Amino acid sequence: MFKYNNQITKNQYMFIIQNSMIGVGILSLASEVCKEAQQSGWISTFLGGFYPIFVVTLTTIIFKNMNFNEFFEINRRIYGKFLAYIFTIFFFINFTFFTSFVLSGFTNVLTFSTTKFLSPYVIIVLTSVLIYFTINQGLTNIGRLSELLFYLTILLLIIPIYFINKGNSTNLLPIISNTNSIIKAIPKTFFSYSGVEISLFIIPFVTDTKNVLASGIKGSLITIILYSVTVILTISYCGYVLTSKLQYPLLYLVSAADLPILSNFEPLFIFLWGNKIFQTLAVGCFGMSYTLSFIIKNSYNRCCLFTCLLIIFTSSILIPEHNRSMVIDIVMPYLVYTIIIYTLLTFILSYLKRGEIFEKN
Amino acid sequence: MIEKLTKNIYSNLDVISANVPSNLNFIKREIIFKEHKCYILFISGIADKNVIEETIIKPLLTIKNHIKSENLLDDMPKKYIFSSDINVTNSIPDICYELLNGKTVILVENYDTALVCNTINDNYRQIQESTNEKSIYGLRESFTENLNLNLTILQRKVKNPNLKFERYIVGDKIKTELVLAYIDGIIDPLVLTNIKSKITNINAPALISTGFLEQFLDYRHYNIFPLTKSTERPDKVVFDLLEGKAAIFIAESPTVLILPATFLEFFQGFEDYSERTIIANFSRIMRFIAIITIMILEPIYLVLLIYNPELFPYKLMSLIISSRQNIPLPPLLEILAMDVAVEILREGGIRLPNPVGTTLAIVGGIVIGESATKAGLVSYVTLFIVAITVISTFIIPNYQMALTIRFIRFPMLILGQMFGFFGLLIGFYFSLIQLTKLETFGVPYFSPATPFRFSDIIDSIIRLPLNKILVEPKSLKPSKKSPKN
Amino acid sequence: MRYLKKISYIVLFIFIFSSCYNKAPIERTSIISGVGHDLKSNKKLSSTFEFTVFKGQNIIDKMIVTTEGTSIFDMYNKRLLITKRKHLPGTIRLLLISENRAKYGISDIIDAFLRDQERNLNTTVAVSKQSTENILKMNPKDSNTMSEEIEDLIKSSFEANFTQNDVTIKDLFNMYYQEGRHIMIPYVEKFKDTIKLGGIAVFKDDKMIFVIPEEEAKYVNILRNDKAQGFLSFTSETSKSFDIACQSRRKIKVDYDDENIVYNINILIYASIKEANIDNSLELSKEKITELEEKYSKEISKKLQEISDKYKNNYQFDAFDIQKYAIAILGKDKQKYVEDNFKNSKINVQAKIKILSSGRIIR
Repeated sequence: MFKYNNQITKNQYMFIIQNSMIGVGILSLASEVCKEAQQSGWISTFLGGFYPIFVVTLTTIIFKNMNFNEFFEINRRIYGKFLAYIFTIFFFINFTFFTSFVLSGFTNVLTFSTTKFLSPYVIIVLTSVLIYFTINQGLTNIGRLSELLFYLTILLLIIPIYFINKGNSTNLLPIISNTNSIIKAIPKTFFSYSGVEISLFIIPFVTDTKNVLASGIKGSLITIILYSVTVILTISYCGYVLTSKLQYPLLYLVSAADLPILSNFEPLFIFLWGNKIFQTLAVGCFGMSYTLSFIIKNSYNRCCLFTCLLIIFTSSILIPEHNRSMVIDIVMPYLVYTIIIYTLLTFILSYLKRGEIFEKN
Repeated sequence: MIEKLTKNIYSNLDVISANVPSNLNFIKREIIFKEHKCYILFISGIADKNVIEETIIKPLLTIKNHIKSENLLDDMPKKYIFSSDINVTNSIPDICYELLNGKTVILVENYDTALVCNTINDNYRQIQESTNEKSIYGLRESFTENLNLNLTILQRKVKNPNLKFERYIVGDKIKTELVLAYIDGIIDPLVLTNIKSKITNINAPALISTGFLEQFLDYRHYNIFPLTKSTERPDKVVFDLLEGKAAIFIAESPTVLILPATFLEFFQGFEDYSERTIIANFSRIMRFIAIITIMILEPIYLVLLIYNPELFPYKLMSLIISSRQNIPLPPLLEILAMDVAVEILREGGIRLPNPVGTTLAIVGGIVIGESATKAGLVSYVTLFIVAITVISTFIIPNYQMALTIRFIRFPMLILGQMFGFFGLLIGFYFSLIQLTKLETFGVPYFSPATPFRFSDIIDSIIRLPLNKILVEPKSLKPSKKSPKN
Repeated sequence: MRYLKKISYIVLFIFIFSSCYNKAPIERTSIISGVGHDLKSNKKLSSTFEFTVFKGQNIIDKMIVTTEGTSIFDMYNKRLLITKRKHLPGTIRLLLISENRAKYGISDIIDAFLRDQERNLNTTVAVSKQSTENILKMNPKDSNTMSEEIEDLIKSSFEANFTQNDVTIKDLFNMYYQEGRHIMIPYVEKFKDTIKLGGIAVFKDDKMIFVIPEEEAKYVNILRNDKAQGFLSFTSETSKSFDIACQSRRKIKVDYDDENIVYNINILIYASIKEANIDNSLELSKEKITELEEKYSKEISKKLQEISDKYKNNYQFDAFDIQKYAIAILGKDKQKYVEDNFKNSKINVQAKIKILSSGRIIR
């Protein structure tokens, strides 16, 4: 029972990166970007993809410079023991926020759409139990699940494509009317793209590190394209005014179809997307448990238990949707900018120290 | 217990008798050969009496007794006994074990070794066509209870010098003979080591059939997914050996265990390879649709009935509501009742003789369904859903996996009843976790889908033309890391 | 054993906390097939609900309930005091708005249907001439409920008269929220003891302003809809006519020079001849067909140009759904400018008939 294994293949690394980002963001992203960038929201989404690619690229180079040691080891060598400890705590807090946002958002969507009769706390607790079972086996199992669930991502992409010729291109024109607003909307996409920080922790576990950068970028690109396509389709179908009014534009889009057996795509979409959410949560919780086991010097498996208990508590606080979006608006920019600064700084320092020889521990 | 024979033939005889079932059919035939007292020991029935009389007793009694011989026990097999397979041993446990296998033991006065002649009675069931695994184009022969004959059948088909047989004896109370067959060079050494260590670590009183062996090879006692396949048909064994798997034969059992088995191959019929590519793919896709139907059709129907009726399209909804008027049972009980009735019918059908069983299943199904709907206990739509589900279970080629998949829908029904769509979601994800975490003898259970290998995935849910797929699957070779990954 | 213990804790938890015990079974629900919104003389709202009644297996009847109140959910609440079964708002097939109510404004209906997650987005919307209660309480001829019958009427009309096929409520939301578009939905009226499609109701923002009459609706439809189907007849004298079954394609090109916006509507009609007894010695050679195409293209272009000028000049209103193309070129912030300048803009209509088939008879 208490065994875990962290080795993953390069393919699995790619799918974990891809999966770590498909969160609640995919549902509300279109609304957020359309508020600022109007019909050009999809361009902001696409440009916002700079964040995951930036993080993945720099991370890979950092680890290459430092000979693929584990995260803590690298931090210790670059910043010394105390700062390494502080950074680990920061990342633990970051992942705690991330998973709580995703879990509470997931709960809100479920109680909003198909399972109105369930108490949100039941959903939170059951999801946490599932996550515990997933992460308890270590990263290998998460990697395998990610790989398997990638096939579901393809289906997830196919559902919006049903609407591809039902929209109207006039809703997307003119393509660019205001560059300023497009740039202003980019930070709004960061919540949807956050979660990619996990690459800082999992790169050392990849068995074959030869083309790991390409894998990371491929994984990010899949998500960026998925996001952009869904935003384009939503805007072209609903127009930007309606899109920005809706809480979950993508959910509105999928429930607009008229089908013979189920009345619309919504339950199917929730089913597929729910699996992705479990995966995203598992990746986030792995990050939490992994950092926590370093902070409190305890075994990984026990930390998994603490982690799951902690997110039950934190996500219960964020239950009504307006509560959650308020906290996101306050917290998210700080987290993202700190991560960008941290990655950049570590990148520069690791570049300077790259001449020193480190053995892989 | 005394382990070795002594020079005293009476004490030897006593020790052996004490360790052999003291039945009427344990025969101690005493003869005098060259003025030495000899005992011929065998268990009649297991050993072939005619063979013993012809090859052992007749030559020993008819030759002239006066020629001197230096070493009787040395001369006996060389000059007098006609039997083709003779061993010399002095270990009493060995002797007792061989007696129980049907061999004949010759004890000679003043010698502390004994001769063991092969006189096993080969009167077993003849080779017949498999009744459990029918095929249209495949071979007509199937394995029998005779271990040696089974090995012969296999050897006749695999004319490869690297085909290896390894013999193991397991069981504390009843010793059972296992034979591990594999083709050296094709099977992955890591998998082979895993299998061997699992077999030597089996701690069981007895192994009666392959089903026992399968469970003793898996340390996860509550795992519901089969990690090995069993088959009666030699052609399947040959095919799997060529893919790099191993087969375990058990003495006195007509089924053979093939291992390791990954999840996806349970849904591949052996006939798929004999049919044209597109036709084979069609039946494979039908099979996967059937699996999804079995697992989630009833739960989804239940969830829509009790929690999300608005998801039915308008026309379907009025149909369903009108069919459910005045039905006293709640939906869950209604579905469960029909399911249980069907399971009982099917279980009953298995135990009955073949033609009667089929009749029972059909007539019983029609009568129960018709009377339940007529009486207004069950709605027509529910009956239809249950019937579709049950018929879909027949399409899964492997019986063990069919049982597992059939079982999964009951927890799914209960989860659906309690949590609606969210219940189905967690049920599905939980089974995925269970599946991905399993490994069969070092091979990930969900390979080749994860870890992903393109060269193998083309023969999973669909299959490409034979010339592309008849290569040794890489996913069964965990010790060799492919250069891509 | 540890494993079993864990699982049993979870199961126990689930049983205690799951909240699924008081759920009405589906057989105690009734399907709302249609909702009608009406305005009473004393400025009070009134709404009519039509729903199915199930009496035993396969016996389906219908009933209507009308309530009055000050807001939508006030009326909804009152209705629950009358009806005996649980009702699902997700199944509504038809939203019928009476002419009075439409002229009064429908923003509350739009908000309720958009906000409430349980509501279906595929509800068909129509405006009725008579009060909705009057229409919904009629006896359906070939469906279980009147709402289904109206829905079927509208859906089957897609094949004739070039009727728009954006008639569901999600299309209504789109027409309401997208820039430069106006709500235009089918207009039905009582016809003897049944109902018929009587034209198009045109809204400005959330208020209905006028109805396009039946005779002109066909031509407005050709101008407004892409990929619509219908029949065109060109009569020379009684029982001598040239009839074609058509599928229309519409292309809009917008030119903009300083002051005025010029809309070029190019309509391509793929036709197959259904009747042509104008000339008994008619031989449908290539030249003849080209001649016919040109002749009737000119005729239909003229007619369409007349219609477009009429609506532009009389109502100063875009009934052809073309302003969105101007906005797409000028930018989303120019919506007001485009709408204000519509009366000064120019609409050029160019129609072209292309005959694809002449039927069984060739001469």
